Parts: sequence; structure tokens; C-alpha cells
Amino acid sequence: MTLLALKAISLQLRDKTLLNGVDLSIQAGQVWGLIGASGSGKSLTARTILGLPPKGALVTGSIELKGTALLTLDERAWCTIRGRDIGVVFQDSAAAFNPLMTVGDHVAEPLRWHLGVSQARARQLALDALARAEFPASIDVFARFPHELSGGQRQRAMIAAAIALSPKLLLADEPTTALDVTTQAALLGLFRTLADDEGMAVLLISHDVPAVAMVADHIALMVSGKIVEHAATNTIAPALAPRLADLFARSRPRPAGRLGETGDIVLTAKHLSYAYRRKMAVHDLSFMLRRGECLGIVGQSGSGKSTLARMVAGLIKPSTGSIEEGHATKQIQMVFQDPMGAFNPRWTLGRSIAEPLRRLTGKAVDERVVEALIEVGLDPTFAARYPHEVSGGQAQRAAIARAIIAKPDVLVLDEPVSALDVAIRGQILDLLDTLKSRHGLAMLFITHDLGVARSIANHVIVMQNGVIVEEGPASDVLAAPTHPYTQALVAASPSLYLRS
Amino acid sequence: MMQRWWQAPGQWAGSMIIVGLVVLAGVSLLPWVVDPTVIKVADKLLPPSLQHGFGTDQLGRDVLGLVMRGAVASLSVAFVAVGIGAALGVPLGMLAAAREGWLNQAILRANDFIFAFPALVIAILLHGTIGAGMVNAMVAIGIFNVPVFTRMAFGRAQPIWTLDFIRASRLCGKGDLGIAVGHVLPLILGAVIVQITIQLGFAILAEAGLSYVGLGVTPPTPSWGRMLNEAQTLIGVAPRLALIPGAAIALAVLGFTLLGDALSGLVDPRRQVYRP
Repeated sequence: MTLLALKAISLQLRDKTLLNGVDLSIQAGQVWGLIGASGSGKSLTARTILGLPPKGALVTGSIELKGTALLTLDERAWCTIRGRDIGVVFQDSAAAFNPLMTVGDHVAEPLRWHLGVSQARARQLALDALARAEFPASIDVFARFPHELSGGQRQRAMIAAAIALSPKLLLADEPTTALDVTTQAALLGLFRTLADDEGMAVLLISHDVPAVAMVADHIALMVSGKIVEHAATNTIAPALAPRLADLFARSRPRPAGRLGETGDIVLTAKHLSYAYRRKMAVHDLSFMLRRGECLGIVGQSGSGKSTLARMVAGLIKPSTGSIEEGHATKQIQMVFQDPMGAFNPRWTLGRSIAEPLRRLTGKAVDERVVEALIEVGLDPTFAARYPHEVSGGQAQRAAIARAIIAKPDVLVLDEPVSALDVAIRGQILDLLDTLKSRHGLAMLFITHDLGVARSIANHVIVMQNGVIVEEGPASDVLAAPTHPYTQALVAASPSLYLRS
Repeated sequence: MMQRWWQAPGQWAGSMIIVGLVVLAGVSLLPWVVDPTVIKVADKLLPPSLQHGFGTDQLGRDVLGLVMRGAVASLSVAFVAVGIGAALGVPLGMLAAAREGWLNQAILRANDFIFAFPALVIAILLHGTIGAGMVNAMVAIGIFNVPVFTRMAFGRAQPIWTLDFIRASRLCGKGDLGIAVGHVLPLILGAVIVQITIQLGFAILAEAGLSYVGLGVTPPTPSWGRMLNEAQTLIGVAPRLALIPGAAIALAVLGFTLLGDALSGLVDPRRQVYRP
């Protein structure tokens, strides 16, 4: 039977229509994925279901939860529904917890509030909820404070608090966006288990198509405040749901990186180590980089990838070991993860792109900027724009333009596509591939996403806790990993999963 | 949405008060305006009239003229003192933000040390070498302002140094100075201007305080703080002699505070969409 039914939900805020006739119907025990680009109205839909639309918003249509019309309820009645019938999990688990309350208090709070049970009973039920959220019994999480948990554990604790009252509906707004792949896979699996074992309906909001596809029964695509297509994950056919099918196709990994002509050695790293506050971030790392080659460095957050990138770029000095540049190596440039943070907000893109050209002046600079913009697939008029006036993908193209304008020999790319939408990801990877073969660039490509590494790197190094655990040609390592850590990464990677 | 400056009432009122003060101070310096420092004991303690808008004091000087000329001392001390504070403090704060380690610690700890001394104590210390006077007040309030600007500039500049575009700039071969001038300074300039405006208000108050205790502007130059001092014994006879300079001080401080407050709304990073 239908648990949650949204009929023609529209939301207007200051003469702007933000939701435009959303229809959605979810059965008990189902996991629905609601996907869409940022600003498409996904989170707003969740807030409307919770009866928490933005101040001054005008909501029309109807929402029924188990036959009860929600939109006509007063605030008092809402308070009994939120938390008890609808549980919520937010994206930013650090902000969702009061730092002065223990995890146990957080989980017990809704129990005491809604059920009015005694402290001892609430503790019992909270421990039960933590167990249902699959916290290992070995961790005494109840008495810990939020900052003592990892991001993944905090997210799990938030799920425990959300399911403590066994709500019929669980809303999860980008619950795994900030987490790395293995943690993400475990949490997504938990949502599936809750739906299967407890008959909970789960609405999973995300922009990450492959991740949602791992667990959802149905996927709905939202564009400009409207659900334009929805389909069961096992039946997404191009004819029935062309846009969803297209998204799926695009989030599939690109064909493996081509190895063009490789040339001289441009960079040799010998026994690199980096210690920060007596902790080894990188330990005894050696590799070689040749012209025309893309070396992928793969690992989870905290594995020392970014430290390595900064050492190679010369931004920080290795504690021990050395980086030797080939005799013809003149310049190393870098592309960063967050394209917005990579530009001075007060500078035009043109001015930033021209920054590496320090010896040129006047017209020669403008010509080179236009040349670089065209090379990365941007219109020359982008030179006059400011960072906030362009999209993330365009900003990343501009960042690549800045990196290549002075014709560097080595390009260090630190997670260059992980902040971008899946659809744009492929375009940027194509661009980098083209630049690599056209200019014989040597690339050091840092990523946590194995699908990305597979599609661009010729050679990969897998890092864990600052050490190399496995290395070899990209196709071999990712198709048949030998080290348990690599195997775990491959198993948890949604974009590789989609392939099968 | 960003408010336009004339739509913010605080900014409007603040600007008007400050412009008014500057104009009055300027007018009082014109050669054909009656010199308020001329003593005419025969006219002492006259009530307000058409000839003497605010009446005269115990020495027969025109109180309106004294208040107008007093603004000259207040404003010049405030501007020079805050100028000293910003000119020394902002580069020091930016330097501390750019460097980690001993230099950063040395600047910040020296800063804390100076911050522990109020302007009044600095003025008493300087009194021995410079003597009382306008310069004493300017230097004392100036030194007091240095740590204010150092802290502000440090706090604003430090997070900027961790951003990726600074790293990109380094890879372009730019040094610390090039980055500080090209990237960091323009990004903190708005906050510096706000701080200058707010500190001008405090400096006017501090100048009045120093002149009141005799460490600031010396006779016969008119000063609001000294007018208050001289009015003390006559507070029962002619309360206006204390009320009028007191109101002038309050109004000047209010003007700069209102303007600073409204400006800070414009450069607040939480409200601001960066515009060229």
C-alpha cells in the first residue's frame, strides 16, 4: 500500500516557483532515490514533506502519509509526526549534533520526548537503535561525544537517532556525500537493510547517480522543481526514461585511458617522506613520471595523496627524500579540487589565467589567454567574467587553462573532478586526455574514485596511510587487485559497480 | 541583496554627522571667523544669544567657536592616530599571517603586550619624553591602535593564505610579497576601512579623555576634553558649558560608529556576494 503520496506539490517563494507540481508515491519497504542537480528542488521537497518549507513559502497540492493529509496539520500535530513517523538524516553530521551532548543523549532525546519513557528505558531503546544502525558492539559509542567519532560513525549515529522511534518514512538528504567510498557503501547498505527488515520507506536524496543506483528500487529525476522521469532501477530503458538512461550512460566509466607516446622521464621521486606533527603523512614513496603519461594516485581520504601532490608541485618540502626533475623540465602546474576556491573572487578569470605569464605584457598576454580559453573549450568572453558568474565545470576548465597557459611539463591534478556533477566529469576527463596527448604532458592524477582513475590513468599507485600498497598498469590493478585494501576499494566503488 | 548605501539609514546619518563636523571645523579655521581663543573677561558667562549662539564661558570666549575649533583638534588627532595604527598594524598583521613560526609568534605576543596598556597609560609614559600636547595624544592613541589593526589584519588574512588560489599563485612563481599585495590586501581592504571608521570614533573619545586629564592638547588651543575639564567647577552655574562639548563628543563618536557599523554590513563575508 502507498505510504507516502505527494500530489501536485507546488511551492512559491517571492513570486518564484521553486517546486512545480511534484508527484511521488512511495510504498512501505521501498527505497527511492531522488536525484537531480543542485538547485533542482530535491532538498526543498524533503523540507516540504517534513512541513518545514522556507519562511513565506506558499505550498499547494497534497501530501498524505498513511492516509493522513499532512499539509492541513497545525504545528502541534506536526510535532508528533516529525521524528515519530518521519525520521531525517542530514548531510552534515558535524553540524547536526550538539557538541556538548553525548551520542547516547542524542539518540535518547527523541525517545524521551515522543514516548515520555523513563531515562533507563530510553537508554535501553537507544542502545537498541544503535545496534540496529549496525554499530559494532565493540565501540562504546553511547558515552562518546560527536567529535570523538569519525564522519562515517557520526552519520551512522544520526541514522540511529532517526530510526530510534521506528518511523515509517526515513528521509536522507545527501547522507553520504561527504564520505569516502567504503564508508558510503556500508551506509547505503544500511538503508537497504532498514527497508527490507523493518519495512521502512526510504527517500534518498543525492546527486550521485551510481551511488543511489546501488540500493534504490526506484529512481526519480528532478529538474527545475519537477520530477521529470522515474523508473525502477532494473528497468531503466532509454525508450521509457531517456534522461535517466542518459545519466546512467554518462556515469558509467569512460573507456580505459589510452597510453600514447611516452617519452623522457620528467620527474623522479626518490624515497619521499613527509612528517607533520610527528605523524607520517607520506612514507618512503618512489616513482617515475614520463612525458605523455598519466600516473593515478588512488586512496581514501587521509591516505596522504594531497600531501604527495603538494610535494611534487613544490608547495611543501619533503622531510626526507628528493624529487629530481628531468633536464628539460621547466615548470610544474597544478589543478585543485574546488574550482571556486582556486580563483581570487575579486579577479576576472582572464587575470587569473594570465598569472603564470609573468614575463609577457599587454597584447601578448591577451592573445595567450584567448588561446588557452579556446583550448579548454571556453568562449574567449570568459576572460572578462568573475568566478561567481560561471558554473563549477566552467571554472574547472578555466583552472586548467591557467595551468597549461605557460606550457608546463608536469600537471599535478588534485581530485580535479570530484566536486563536479557526473555529466561534467566525463567532459573534463576527455579534455585532460586530449591535452595530455597533444602537448605530451606528464600528469599526476590524484583521486579517490577508482572509476575516474581507471578512465584516465595509464599507471596507478594505491596508497594507504601514506604508503604504497599496490602499483601497476591501471587496467591490471583495478581489474584484478591483489592487495586486500585495493580489493575493498574496488568492491565499494559505485562507478565500477555500475559496469557489471 | 546588497543594500545601496543611501538606503542604509545608519550610513546616511553617520555620513551626515561626519561631513557636518568636518565642515564646522573647516569654517572655524577661516581667517574672517572670530578667533574663539580671544579672552574678553567683561563678556564672561553670557547666556546664549544671537551674537553668541551657545553663550560665552568664564573667560568670555564664544562657546560655539570653541566647540567648532575643538573639532579641529579632535579630528586631526583621531585621523593621525588611526593612520599610525593602520599603517603599522595592517602590514604587521599581514606579515604574521604570511609566516608561521617564531616571527608570527613574536608579532602576536608583542601585540598582546601593547594591547594590555590603555591609551591613557601610554600617554602618561610618553609624557616624560614628549610632554603634553597634540603630538603626545597622536602618538599615544596611535600606538594603542597598532595591535587593534594587527589583530584584525591577521585574523582576516590568515584564512586567505590557506586557499587554493594562493597555491596557484605560488606555482606561478610569485613570492610572499607579491601574493600579499596582489591577492591578500585587496581582499581584506574592505574590513580595514570599516575598522578605520570604527577606530576613528574611539580615537575621538580617547583624545577627549587625554585632554581632559591634561595630557592632550595644551591651552590655548581649544579642545572638547579640556572644555569639559574647565566646565567642571561651573557645572552648577552654567551646566551648558559641560553639556555642549559633551554632546559634541557623543555626536562625533556616534557618527563614526554608525558609519562603521553600516559599512561593516557591506563587507561582512556572510552577507557579501563578491563584486568587482
